[in-house]
Amino acid sequence: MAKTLVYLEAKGDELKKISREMMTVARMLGDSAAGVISTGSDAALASAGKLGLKKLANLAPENGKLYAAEAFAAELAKLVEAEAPAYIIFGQTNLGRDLAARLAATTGVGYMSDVTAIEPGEPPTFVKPLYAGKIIGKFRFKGEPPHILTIRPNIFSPSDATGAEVATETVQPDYTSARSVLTSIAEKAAGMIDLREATVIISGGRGIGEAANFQMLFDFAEKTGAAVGASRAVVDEGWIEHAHQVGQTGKTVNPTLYIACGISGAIQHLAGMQTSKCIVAINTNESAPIFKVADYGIVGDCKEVVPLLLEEILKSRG
Amino acid sequence: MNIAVITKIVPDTEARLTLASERVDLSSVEMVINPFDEYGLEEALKIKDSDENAKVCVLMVGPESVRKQVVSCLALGADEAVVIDDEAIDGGNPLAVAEVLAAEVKKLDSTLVFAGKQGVDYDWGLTAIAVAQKLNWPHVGVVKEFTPDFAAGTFTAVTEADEGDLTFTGSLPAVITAEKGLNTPRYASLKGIMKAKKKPFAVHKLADTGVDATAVGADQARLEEVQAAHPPAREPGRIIEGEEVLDRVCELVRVLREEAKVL
Ligand SMILES: Cc1cc2nc3c(=O)[nH]c(=O)nc-3n(C[C@H](O)[C@H](O)[C@H](O)COP(=O)(O)OP(=O)(O)OC[C@H]3O[C@@H](n4cnc5c(N)ncnc54)[C@H](O)[C@@H]3O)c2cc1C
Ligand SMILES: Nc1ncnc2c1ncn2[C@@H]1O[C@H](COP(=O)(O)O)[C@@H](O)[C@H]1O
Repeated sequence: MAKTLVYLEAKGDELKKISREMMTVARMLGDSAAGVISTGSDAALASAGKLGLKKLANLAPENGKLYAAEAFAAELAKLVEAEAPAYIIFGQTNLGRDLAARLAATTGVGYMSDVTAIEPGEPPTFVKPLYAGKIIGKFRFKGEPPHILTIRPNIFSPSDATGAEVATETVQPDYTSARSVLTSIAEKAAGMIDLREATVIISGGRGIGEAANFQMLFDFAEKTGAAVGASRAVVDEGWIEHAHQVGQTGKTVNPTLYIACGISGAIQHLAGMQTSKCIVAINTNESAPIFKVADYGIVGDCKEVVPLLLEEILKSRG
Repeated sequence: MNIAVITKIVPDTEARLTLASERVDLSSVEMVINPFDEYGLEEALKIKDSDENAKVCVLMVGPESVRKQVVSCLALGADEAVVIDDEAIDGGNPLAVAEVLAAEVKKLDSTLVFAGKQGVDYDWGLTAIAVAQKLNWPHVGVVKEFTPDFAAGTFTAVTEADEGDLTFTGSLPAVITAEKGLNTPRYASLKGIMKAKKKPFAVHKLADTGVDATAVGADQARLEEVQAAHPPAREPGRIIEGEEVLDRVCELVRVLREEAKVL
């Protein structure tokens, strides 16, 4: 079996779930993994150290410089040289995809983004949705390793910590050589769950009626621990920010439960949510296309259904 | 000041796609400018609006048949277009395409390259970053706010990530890839459409770019597509029936708990 290298991610003191998902993929593809992370948090570093890695390097931030693709790619290229991994695994996240692409461009090695399945074999086959999920594409790497992949969040089951601890090596990236640097992160307001990490999403479309009615969805989200999504139509209307948009030109999400309220189910919207485990549609029009992909549907006015649904869910939870 | 906009064509997002020999058959599909590239173009045009010396050049590696879509960029206000059409270029390999685009950008002496965050075909998100790497320029991706300071030769760019909004600072020249929301793309005016026909439109061969064919040929690809297929259809769902809305809601909560086990 082969060696792998994973680029782990943390958010504050917590390892992101995607980091544990990357470990699962690393174990599918190899028998020993080295890890790279970039964090200023000892707690996050300690959690990463317990994932069962053979080696862990921390690309340390410096004077408010938190990330720099050029500098990080240069350090990763050195590690790749030293470790000779067959696969380098990233998350399909904002910074993961940026660094993966930069490293691919720097080293000229094979690159495959947004992997959603891996079929074993010699060599393995990597699967990803194409054309907004209308097509499933299967790919194989050619030529000498290493090969770079980014994995879609919420698809692979997260690995648990193994208990064994590995010491961290601190690496100081050369930020002076980088001509674009991440200098600040405006953290999300407390309680705002990121769509890509949410297990339950309640999404609103034009059928919500007006901007003020989004409050009903935020209310639902806050009380049930869900995140709020939206169709492009309402983002373009200015009812809600683009960060909430689900679909081809918005976010791709894979929650356990996706509740579409007053969304017609245009192909570009489906592109972003059709891999959800369970889809519920609430729509006044019984022939709305969303009902074709929904597991369960209620024909009705979402302004009436959503508050009742919230009440019943809270009741059922006791 | 010169600004380059790199753009590709992709199937219209409404299009139904069919397969032939386990590959997507695009022969009769309507092709459009990649939606994310429209935001890149708009950002370039905004700079041109405020600086009459700015020139915007649209670059595309693709077949000459893309003329219609490229002219639509000229109609919006871009000054010239270069399409690089050569069978020797492996159009499916982002690194090969980037090699050619980088060579053309160098000739333009540009200060900025705008692109889309990804093509909505294969969602690689690689080409523009590879252009930056080949030019040895910085890149910031998935940008939703961009503020250049041409006098100082710097910029700030904001992108949205799971963590929250990320602010980057950097130096020009740079490659910026656009997220939806960066701006609101304009519509073409009748005057723009009339003028577009007279604007410079060049079709280059690989030899014109100075790039060696061995660097961009299909044998360079490190990834091979083995199959394209339609995804399995979702099982048909069920409309929850019930006299009153409340009955339907209660039944929904029950099935979500007991059947789907997602609550
Ligand atoms: C290049 C491109 C990219 C795009 N990208 C995206 C994308 O990323 N995401 C996206 O979502 N769209 C995207 N779109 C837009 C997409 O084509 C649709 O226009 C959009 O999804 C429609 O949004 P909607 O369902 O909210 O509105 P509509 O299509 O207007 O549907 C409203 C629905 O609400 C129902 N309704 C009305 N009143 C009520 C009520 N009281 N209670 C319950 N239901 C009610 C109606 O029956 C209808 O089905 C894109 C389009 C293009 C061209
Ligand atoms: N053939 C091409 N010609 C010009 N620009 C391209 C081409 N392919 C990709 N690009 C640019 O690179 C971005 C990312 O594309 P991709 O790597 O295919 O996801 C696109 O949004 C375009 O701006």
